[in-house]
Amino acid sequence: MRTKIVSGVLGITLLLTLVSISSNSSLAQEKKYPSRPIEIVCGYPPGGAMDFTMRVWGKYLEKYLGVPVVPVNKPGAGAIIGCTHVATAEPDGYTIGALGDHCTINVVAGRAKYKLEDFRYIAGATNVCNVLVVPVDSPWKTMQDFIDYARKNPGVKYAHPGIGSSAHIRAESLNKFANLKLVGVPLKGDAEVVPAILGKHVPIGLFSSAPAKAQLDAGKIRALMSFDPPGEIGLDPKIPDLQTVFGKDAPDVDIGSYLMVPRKTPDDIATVLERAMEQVTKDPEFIKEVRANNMQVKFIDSKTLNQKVLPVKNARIEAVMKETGLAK
Amino acid sequence: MDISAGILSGFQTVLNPINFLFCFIGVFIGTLVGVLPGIGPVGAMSILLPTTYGFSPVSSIIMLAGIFYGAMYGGSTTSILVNIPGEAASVVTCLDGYQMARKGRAGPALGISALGSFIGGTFSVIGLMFLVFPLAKAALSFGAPEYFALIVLSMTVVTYLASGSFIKALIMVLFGLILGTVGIDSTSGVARFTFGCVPLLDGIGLVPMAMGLFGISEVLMNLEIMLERTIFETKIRNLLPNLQDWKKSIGPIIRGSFMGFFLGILPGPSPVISSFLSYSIEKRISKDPTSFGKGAIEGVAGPETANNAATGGSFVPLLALGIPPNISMGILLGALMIHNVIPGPLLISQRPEIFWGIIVSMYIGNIMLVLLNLPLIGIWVQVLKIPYRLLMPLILLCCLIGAYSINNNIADVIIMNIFGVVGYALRKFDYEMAPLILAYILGPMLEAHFRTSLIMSDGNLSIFMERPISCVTLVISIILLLSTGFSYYRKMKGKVIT
Repeated sequence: MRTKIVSGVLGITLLLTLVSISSNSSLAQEKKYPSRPIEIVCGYPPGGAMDFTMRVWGKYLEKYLGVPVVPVNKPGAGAIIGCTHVATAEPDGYTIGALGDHCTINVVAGRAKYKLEDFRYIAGATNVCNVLVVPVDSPWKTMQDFIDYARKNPGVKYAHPGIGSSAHIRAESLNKFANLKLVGVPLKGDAEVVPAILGKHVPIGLFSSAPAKAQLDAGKIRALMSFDPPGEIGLDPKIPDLQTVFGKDAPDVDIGSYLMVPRKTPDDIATVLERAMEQVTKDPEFIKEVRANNMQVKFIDSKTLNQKVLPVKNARIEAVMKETGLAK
Repeated sequence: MDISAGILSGFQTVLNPINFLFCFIGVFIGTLVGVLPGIGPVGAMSILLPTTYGFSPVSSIIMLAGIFYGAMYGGSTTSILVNIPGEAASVVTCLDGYQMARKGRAGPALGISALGSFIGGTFSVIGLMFLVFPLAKAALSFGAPEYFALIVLSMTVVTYLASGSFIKALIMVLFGLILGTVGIDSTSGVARFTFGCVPLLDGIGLVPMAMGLFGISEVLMNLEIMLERTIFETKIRNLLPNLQDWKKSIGPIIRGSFMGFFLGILPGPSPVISSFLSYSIEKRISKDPTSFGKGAIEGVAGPETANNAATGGSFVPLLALGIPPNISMGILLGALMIHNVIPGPLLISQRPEIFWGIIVSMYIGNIMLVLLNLPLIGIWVQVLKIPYRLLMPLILLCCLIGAYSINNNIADVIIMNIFGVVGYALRKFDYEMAPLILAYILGPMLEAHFRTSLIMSDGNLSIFMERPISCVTLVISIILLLSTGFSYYRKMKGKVIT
């Protein structure tokens, strides 16, 4: 009786082992990527523009990849936790990141444990957009009014969502090249910038485009300038954009979101992801949803991204951070 | 749309079966996560956010909001029964609630907690309904100098949280202030006291720290006491508060409602702050302050009402301006964004069904919660009969899982455990945790607003006196400090003479 049980157990164990070995090998060799759910990671907590980016990408990637794409928030430390998670994940294409320039910012600030070389940038897809706003009864009616005033009166205060945030870097980039001599008032996120402007505690500030639209529609603020083309993001096209005010070669650190994976991810998986992302950005439903949240759809393929866009942008970020004393 | 039409349309929205069901699910889950130590409303809202995709924006917000204010009902349960807070806003309830339970009055404590929560919650919804726009406008006049002054005022009452030695309370306040400096400083971008450790860049984390100082330390303290259950086995006399309890509690409840509601409008973890402040103020104005810390029902009624009233107040900036004043509202904002609704000043006119639906759902949710919680008191009281050797490991497990669930990061669990040991050591030496927690929350806010104000004024300190609200508030704080100091001095002088 006992020998029967023992042999029975051994037999089942052997059977299970054989089945799992054979199924493992078949997974590796025969099934193509992707064949199981993919995790998409964001370095910010739920409820913000980057979280929305991750979720909307995930929703549409699922459509074109054919497997569930599950959003996972790994917030903390200015997105270092999320970026580290992607950098150190298995390079099998099942952990992808909806990350952005904050990865670079953390490296330049000397706080990150990862290096930019730990990532493989697949594509750029959407941008978070910003608007320079003043309260509706501000004496500055146009951007030119403000530029003239700022240059003559150094030390005008502007509100931004936090030291080292992408918006802060963007604002400082403008501050330096346009010689506006502004002084930044660091606040904690858009949630503090909006009341600071509405309550007139700070004369001018940088909003994300979504709250900017809500306040513009209610007539509470005036948009002096949009950093990104306003018509593309659902804002009034009459608002001047950066290129209109400062010329086509005006340097800007736009806040891009990139699909990133660990460096060693094989080429064929990277190509599948890139192609899927391209299809996503052409999907009219996706464009509609992104625009409804006042963000910009802008697909950048991996070659352009890695060879043209990133070197220029990372250099500019490093330069701005060095000038403002944020770099290590 | 005027108010009566709005309320009518709100009822129409909420009485729709799906929305009604979502409201119930939300408040039920909220109560559950409130009761379970460790996992709190923020965690539950984040986890359930994706499940709301397929449904309408109103349904999603109704459910998520229900989790938020529901948690304020449930949190006091474990605070009262086993001295372990269900979540950060119920920490103060441990102080007197647990003492009431030890005297066999767990039922009235739970009862006044549920009823006070109902009154506070309903009051804040009514306030929200009528005053949302004027209040939001008034809140805008608060800038960094005003917030600084308000926090100075709050700090003057922080030592009232302690029942024991004043000096020890001060030491805990200092310790809390120091702990609050850990992390990336928001004004300069410099990382302080992080020792190169990435998880500390955001600071220590209120929830893991509070869970450790109160929860894990309580488990550890129970390990060494062979608690004779005679105290709890005396017959639980009444399950509901009696007339005397009501007489004592009505003042704290009214004050807590107002205070919680108005504090909720301002940015920060308002349910937590308002519960602490309510306790301090009740103790300060009480005719018998020495009864606090030994089972004074005012110490349960006030804070529990305040933390619920704060949930209603939190909606004011979100619904009127589209600005989330705390993390939970931020998640609601995210839920709206996913449904392509951007809240702002025009929400009430462009999407009135969302605005009124949320408000009426909160009213109905509060009713559901009080109906859910009151009958459960009889069952909760039975929990006291579970042998501690089974109850404590269960609580420990909940805390460990809860701490991990905050950010899916094991660092939070480690922090909780470290503070569990620290809390145990401090309690053995009769140091109290409550002043530490309040100082930990208020310290960084105090510093950030001070420095931001100085940036705004180019380094000129007179900015605090030039602006009316901050000037008045600071003067009141100074008067309060002086009066406390003066009465202390008189007491000391009296002691020397006799």
